Amino acid sequence: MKRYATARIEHLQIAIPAGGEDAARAFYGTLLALREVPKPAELAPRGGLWFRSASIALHLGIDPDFHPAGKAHVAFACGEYASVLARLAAAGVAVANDALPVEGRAHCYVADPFGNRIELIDDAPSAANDDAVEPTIVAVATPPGQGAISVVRVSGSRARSIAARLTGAAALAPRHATRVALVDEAGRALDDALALSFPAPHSATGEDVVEFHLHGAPVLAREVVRAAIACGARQAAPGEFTRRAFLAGKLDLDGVGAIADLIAAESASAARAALANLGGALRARVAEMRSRLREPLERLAASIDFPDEVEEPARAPLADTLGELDGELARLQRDGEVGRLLREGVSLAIVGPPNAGKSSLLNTLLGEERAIVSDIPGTTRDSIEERFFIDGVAVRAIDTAGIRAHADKLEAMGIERSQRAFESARILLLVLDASLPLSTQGEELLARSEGRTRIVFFNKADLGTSAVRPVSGLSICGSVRWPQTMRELRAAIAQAGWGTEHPDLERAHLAFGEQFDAVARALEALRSARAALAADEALDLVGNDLRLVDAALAHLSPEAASEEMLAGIFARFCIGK
Amino acid sequence: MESMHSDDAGVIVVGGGHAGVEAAHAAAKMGVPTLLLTGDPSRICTLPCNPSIGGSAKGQLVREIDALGGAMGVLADACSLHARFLNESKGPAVRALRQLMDKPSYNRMALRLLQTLPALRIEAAMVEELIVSAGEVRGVRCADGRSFYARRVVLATGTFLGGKLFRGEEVQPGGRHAEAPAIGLSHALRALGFSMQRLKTGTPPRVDRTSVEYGAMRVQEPSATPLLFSRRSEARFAGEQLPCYLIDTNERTHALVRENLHRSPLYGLDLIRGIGPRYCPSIEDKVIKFAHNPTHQLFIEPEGWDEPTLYVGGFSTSLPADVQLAMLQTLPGMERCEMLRAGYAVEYDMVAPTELDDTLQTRRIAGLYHCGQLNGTSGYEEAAAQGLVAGANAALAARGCEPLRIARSEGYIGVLVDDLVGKGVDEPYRMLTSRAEHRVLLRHDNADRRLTPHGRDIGLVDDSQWMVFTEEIALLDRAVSDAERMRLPVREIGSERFQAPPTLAEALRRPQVRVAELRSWLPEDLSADLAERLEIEVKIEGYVKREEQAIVQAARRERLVIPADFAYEGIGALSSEAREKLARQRPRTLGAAGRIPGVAPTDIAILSLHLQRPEHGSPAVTR
Repeated sequence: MKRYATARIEHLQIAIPAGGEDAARAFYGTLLALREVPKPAELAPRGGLWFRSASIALHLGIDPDFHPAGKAHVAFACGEYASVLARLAAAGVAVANDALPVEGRAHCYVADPFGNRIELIDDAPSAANDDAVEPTIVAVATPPGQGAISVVRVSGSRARSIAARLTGAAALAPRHATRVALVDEAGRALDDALALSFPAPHSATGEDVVEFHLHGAPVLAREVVRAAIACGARQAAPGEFTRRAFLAGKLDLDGVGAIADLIAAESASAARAALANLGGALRARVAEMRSRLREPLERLAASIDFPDEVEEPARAPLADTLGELDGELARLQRDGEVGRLLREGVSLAIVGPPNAGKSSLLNTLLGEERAIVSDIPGTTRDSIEERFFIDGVAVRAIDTAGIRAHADKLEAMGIERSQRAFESARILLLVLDASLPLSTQGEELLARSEGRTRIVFFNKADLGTSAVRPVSGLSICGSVRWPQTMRELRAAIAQAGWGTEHPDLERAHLAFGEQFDAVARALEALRSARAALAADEALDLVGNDLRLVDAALAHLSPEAASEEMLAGIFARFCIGK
Repeated sequence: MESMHSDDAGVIVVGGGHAGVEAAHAAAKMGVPTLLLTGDPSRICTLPCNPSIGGSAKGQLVREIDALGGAMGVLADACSLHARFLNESKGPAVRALRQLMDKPSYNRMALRLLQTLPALRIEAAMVEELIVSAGEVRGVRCADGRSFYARRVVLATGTFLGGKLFRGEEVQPGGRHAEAPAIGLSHALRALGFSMQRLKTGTPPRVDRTSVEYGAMRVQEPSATPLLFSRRSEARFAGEQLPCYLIDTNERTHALVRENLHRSPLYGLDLIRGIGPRYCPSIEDKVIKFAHNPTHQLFIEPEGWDEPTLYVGGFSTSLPADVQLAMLQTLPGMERCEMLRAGYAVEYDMVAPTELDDTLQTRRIAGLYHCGQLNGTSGYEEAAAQGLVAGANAALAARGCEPLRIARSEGYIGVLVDDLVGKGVDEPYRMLTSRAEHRVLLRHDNADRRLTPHGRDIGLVDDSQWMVFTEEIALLDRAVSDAERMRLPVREIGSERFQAPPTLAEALRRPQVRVAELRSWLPEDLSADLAERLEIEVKIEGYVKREEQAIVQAARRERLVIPADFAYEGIGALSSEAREKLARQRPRTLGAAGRIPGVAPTDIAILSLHLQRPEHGSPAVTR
């Protein structure tokens, strides 16, 4: 082995003032989470502290003539940069962020309790550190809580060896469901399951893929994921399976969008809309719109390039066509909204004074459909959100009563969430006690919800109706105990959520945010073209807008736009000297 | 002298058409010793087809050539016998100048201009062969046995490569009317492995100008004021301005075409294999493919002040001469016309421009540049633009400098080169405004803003042009910023009403207000030309800004350079067509890759993912 005269840094020493040990321990030990080790006995009398771990050796030495180091400093790479910063902030340590990342990594400066400068660098692995070999990934492939079967999918070069560990079977027959007794990494029994192996490249991701089909319980699925991770897999990032499938050439971009939708689809309706997208219904609609733009665009282009031979398009019919397209695009945008509604559901906040019957209302609404109580750690869902379905659309009900029930944990947090639910929900369901005079809180809620999409529900009408009064918007008087009232409430939620028209599930919906943007861009350019046309602008400038419309639409149904147009020009007009 | 030493010529240019002349002019003006070889030096730039220079998109090309310091604009201005702006009402970005040339003057002026360049020598020679060693060009060998040596050779052979002329049953080898083709060079290129295609074009008959009745024709008057391509030209007419005439074909003309189709080399005789241009169909094509059109418009144009001929635009044909004359005599005002020269079709070899990189150098042989019709284009302007790029790049390479590259957002020249090398051609390529996605920026009025700095950088724009440019731009910029500040003392301009007295710029932004109406409030030293530029810049500022934003957004993709040795083969996600085309054409940037036909947006998304990976070309998915 090659030897160097000076091989490596053995340790770093920072000076601290006499008697600074406790403050140093709190900063370096608690906040920066460095491990303190006892100083060797022979050095202990000098005071100071040592921190050591596999890669850090930091000595704090007492300097009787202490001056803080303002420029010279030690820089630590932090694996949990954000949480270190949060701890420092909570402890009142001033953090000087540097907006300019160093080599793509965030960093900041802090001062230790004695004024020594310390730099902290985010050590999150950047793309550059990824090895060329993709790690094997694992995740639950079915939406949490839904369905009788959970699927855990493992993809990557180690998928088959992991499967062997978890099933005890030496090899699984490719593309056959094999019944296996699943065990975890320590050999503890997990479930009686089915396992399917898809060897590369004939799999969804193009890599070796193994799927485990488990009996319902989400807990069990999480346990299998944990076991796979223990055997060398890594938790898949959101969309990572799809990204791999895309890179392997298994999907085109449209497919990626539609698959992303399928994954996110919370309801059967959304799944169907996603499938319609996959089939290209959107493409057909867009192609139709583009074909209507094509004639005027081709004529305009031909009239510019062959001015002596082709007349420019007449303005009035062009204005009519653009008006029609405006309507069509606006409809597409609205359908996109419906798509979003189907995909994400509609949020409903149930608010009201205590004892108005909010909890029993929610429980009745949930009924047997009570699908998910989403308290699964690691999901982003709010733990007090409940879901039920009306006409196949997911309604995400935020039960502010539920917040109160958890209030013992952190009152402040509960109030804040309640507030946020009130502000952000698409629909407010205000529950009031009909049998008692309206409380101050009830009055206040009525006033505050004025102008919002709301349903006022006077509950407990079976006990009296003294509080009932005319209010703006939808209002219902009845009782959660009466099935008729519940039917009315569901109808009211549907009306407030997606109007009287039932969402047309067979129409194509815009899958991606990107597609939304393209439609918005097309609409903006189209309106600019209409304005220019109305203002008698030169037709080429109108055409400039129209080409942007076409380009935005082409984004939704990509074709070689300009070549296509040239072909159109030469087919339509006899040109040439 | 039998041969030259290798250091005698920095650049050899083969061919004396618009491409060759522009290439030789650029290289020699940049100070690199240049040798122009052409069959007959007295016949350079004869304008063998139509007499027009400019037109929609082509006019912008000429302005761009001029802005870069090239020759075509100056030459055309000095020979113009008819000038007109096209598309005046359709918008500032598509306004374009078109001139008709006195053909003998053009030929004479071109030769005279070249003779003023001390670094240029012109020799009469038919090049038969390229001298190539170890993948690099070393010179050329001529039919008479002479050899000339240089490490940069620009081929600008036009329609001469393997040229064949067709008229009825007559087929004869030829590059142009009464000129021999270049057969040897065509074989030589094929032997070097170049991928060749066959194209076709044609020219109409010419008639005696004293034998027609103009009274039966519609008149198209020239502009009453001089309209010029070049800012270096003097603002005066080059000579007498002549009108053009329009007439229509009729059923008798069409009947003659149909009756004689069996004598057409294109149809009945089926002799022509090359593909002709869609935008310049022969009269045979027009009558057959657009049978529902009862008439087709023709353009009767003079070919010179003292030329006896009229050019019958729109009447290109390869039918036998007797049929051509009979057809001509069915036309109004031409009943007793005399045909001085019959039209013909010409078929010629081209080399696939996908063989070139974006400097127009071939990838197969270092130092060899192709330009003009050899690359499958048609048109004088397209040829000249490529000639300038190829000649300048050959000169820059000889000096060891960075090549000239013009982006699609900077000029029609950029669109032209990028289209050619990226997409290739399957018919003669003509520049059209619809090929340019950024045409709001690529206007005739701002070609100097866009390109003169480039021309200066490479040493093609001389001091006097540079000084004129800097002075004009300073005046214009001041006028534009004053227009934003200066309030007019009125609330009404023409039919337009304003709530408060508008600034000059606010007034100009109304579509109906023209700068001419505001003349009295403009600085006196602002020429009419600069006033028009002011109007355009103010009027379409919004469109320009939006376009510039789009360009900035696309810039990352345009600038993302793909390593020259990028391993496309390893990327399973690419479609096999995309993989094959990318590996063959090796586009320099991701933007160029996206414009290759058969490369889908999905392929580009995949490529961009791969380009962002730490190791280019490592397979995305390891198995």
